[in-house]
Amino acid sequence: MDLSPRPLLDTDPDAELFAGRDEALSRVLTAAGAALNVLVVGERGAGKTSLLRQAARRLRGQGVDVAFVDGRGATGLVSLLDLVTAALARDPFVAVPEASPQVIPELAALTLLARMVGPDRQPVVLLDELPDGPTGHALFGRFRDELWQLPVSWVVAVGADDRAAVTTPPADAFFARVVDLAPLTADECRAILAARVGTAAPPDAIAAVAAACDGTPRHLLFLAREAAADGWRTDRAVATAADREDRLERLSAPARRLVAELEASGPLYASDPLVQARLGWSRVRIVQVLGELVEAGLVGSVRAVGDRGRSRTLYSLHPPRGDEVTAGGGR
Amino acid sequence: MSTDALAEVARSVAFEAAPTWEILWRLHHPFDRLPGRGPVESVLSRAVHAGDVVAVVGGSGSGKSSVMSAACSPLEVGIAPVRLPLRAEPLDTLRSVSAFARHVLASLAALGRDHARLDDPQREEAYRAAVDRRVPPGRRRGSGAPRAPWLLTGGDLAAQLASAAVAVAGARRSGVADVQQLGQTLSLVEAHGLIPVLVLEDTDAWAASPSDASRRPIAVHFFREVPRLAADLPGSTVMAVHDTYRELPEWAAAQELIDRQVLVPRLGSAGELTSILAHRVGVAAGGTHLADVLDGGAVERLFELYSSTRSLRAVLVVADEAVDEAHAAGRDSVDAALVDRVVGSRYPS
Repeated sequence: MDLSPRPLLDTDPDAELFAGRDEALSRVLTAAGAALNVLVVGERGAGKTSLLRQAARRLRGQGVDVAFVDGRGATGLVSLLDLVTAALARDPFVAVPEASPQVIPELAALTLLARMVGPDRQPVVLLDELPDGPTGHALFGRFRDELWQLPVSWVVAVGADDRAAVTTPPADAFFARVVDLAPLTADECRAILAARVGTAAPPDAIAAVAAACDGTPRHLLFLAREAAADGWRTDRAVATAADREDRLERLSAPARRLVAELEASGPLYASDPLVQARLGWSRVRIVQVLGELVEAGLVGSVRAVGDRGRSRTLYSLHPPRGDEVTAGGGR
Repeated sequence: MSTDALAEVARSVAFEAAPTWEILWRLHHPFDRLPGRGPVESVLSRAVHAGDVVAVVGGSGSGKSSVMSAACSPLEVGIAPVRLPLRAEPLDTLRSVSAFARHVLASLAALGRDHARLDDPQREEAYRAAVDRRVPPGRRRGSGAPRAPWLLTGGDLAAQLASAAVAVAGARRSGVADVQQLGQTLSLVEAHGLIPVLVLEDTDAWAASPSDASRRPIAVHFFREVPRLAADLPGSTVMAVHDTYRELPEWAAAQELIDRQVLVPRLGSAGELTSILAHRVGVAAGGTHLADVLDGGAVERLFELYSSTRSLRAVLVVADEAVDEAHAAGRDSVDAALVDRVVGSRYPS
């Protein structure tokens, strides 16, 4: 049984757990196979990352040149392009010539990207989230024609809040296809739970959890975890989930981002350099935002012994149940 | 209706929403030729040949670039259009007349260099490709080096333009010198019997940035500096003007320097939209009729989309996706229900 809230990765074990988004995956794969640019839109927790990861796995299996990029770590357009360029590097140690200093930084970054791709590749870039809407509009609007010059196809996942920005002209013509991750149907919820719990849960509990779900995999799995911890009694799980959603809605944007990081990567230390790099935040900033989550009752902490034997504070999304707490912030 | 016709339209990507500049004129259905419409392209063409400073005005996706491409097509005799992409330029390019002049000079010089390198067989092949009315199938992504047909007809104009780059790069110049140099370079083109035409068609990007207020001042600078420069230069300048720019105070002053405004008309009926889409299908999918692929209900729905968005580009984006979906599903046409589904996914209410 695996009810982890983390996004599914592009691995064979995680592929067994992927369910409920088959039509969306099919549309993404069909479009990517035709070298069309695709925009995937979904609410937080709708499964965008898992969908892109599965698409990456399937495309690689077809021999397609694929690069997966987490756009949330970018601080702007240039850094986003740098992330894409780095993801496309086949040899991490090859030196990419500097672009001319005479051009604007964005064009310089595009030039580097073009050089990394080279004349013989036709990669598919799967870009999971953007740093913000205006960056997306700048990249796919202002620099639309420059991107079109590259032999690169794009599959870009954005939250519903950023949809307007990346579909406002001239960016609207960049994406040949738009795939909306609609709320899960009850059947899709049941399919996800069947993949995750197998026969470990009674059918009526599965049905109750599916019925109470708000339509996102994230919420579905949270309900299922709560129900599983309570002997598959669902009424308390539903109440707990509703309260949690209410608290999540009242969080600031950075706090919601940190919740997403905790859901994706599990418990973390604020001093972990990998976590700091992914978020683009300092330790002080992470601690500050964790404070908001602790105050909201969404995050708990324990003193744990880190990798170097020193005692540090380990933060997790909710007070740990049993032996759930594990150290490390890696994916 | 037939699956073959639909397959041909899908293969040819007849409804591609943003074709390259080199292809756009081939797909354009003149507003002039819509029954009952006043002249649009012919007015622009006359203004270009008269050496006017012209503003082509309309909303995003209304067809400004398409109209401009038609008036500046390779088949137009006696003009030397130079398309100057501005979208990716830094604000500094537009902050002063001399900076803009340097940008134009650098573009002309690069154009000259690219063409001067071609040998005779390459030049002939490039010319044939540039003036070919046919539309190559498939998505027209990336066009390679831009080709100016007026530099492919032989002679030494390309080399002369290329030498202008050496003069610009090597000299420490005053702003006045930059403007003078640009004027002299354009006069060089005139001396070869051609009317130079500066084409500024991608200015919409400054207006359409939803939360990026920093882009708006670029339009302000543009209208402060560029029309003033254009009015003093030999030849014509054609600039795309987004509807919203007309609210800028700088536009009021710029209008005094603009010789003519060409307003891109709004389509008034599904019949007019049908003419435009039918032209696309006929040109791109040789001999196919629109009625073979879109039923009447689908066209009505597309016209409703046009009426609400005022964007031909939005219509093309939806039509393109609907054709692909219908073809993938083995259908023989696109109906209203499919258009509704695609519109719903693209433009959720």
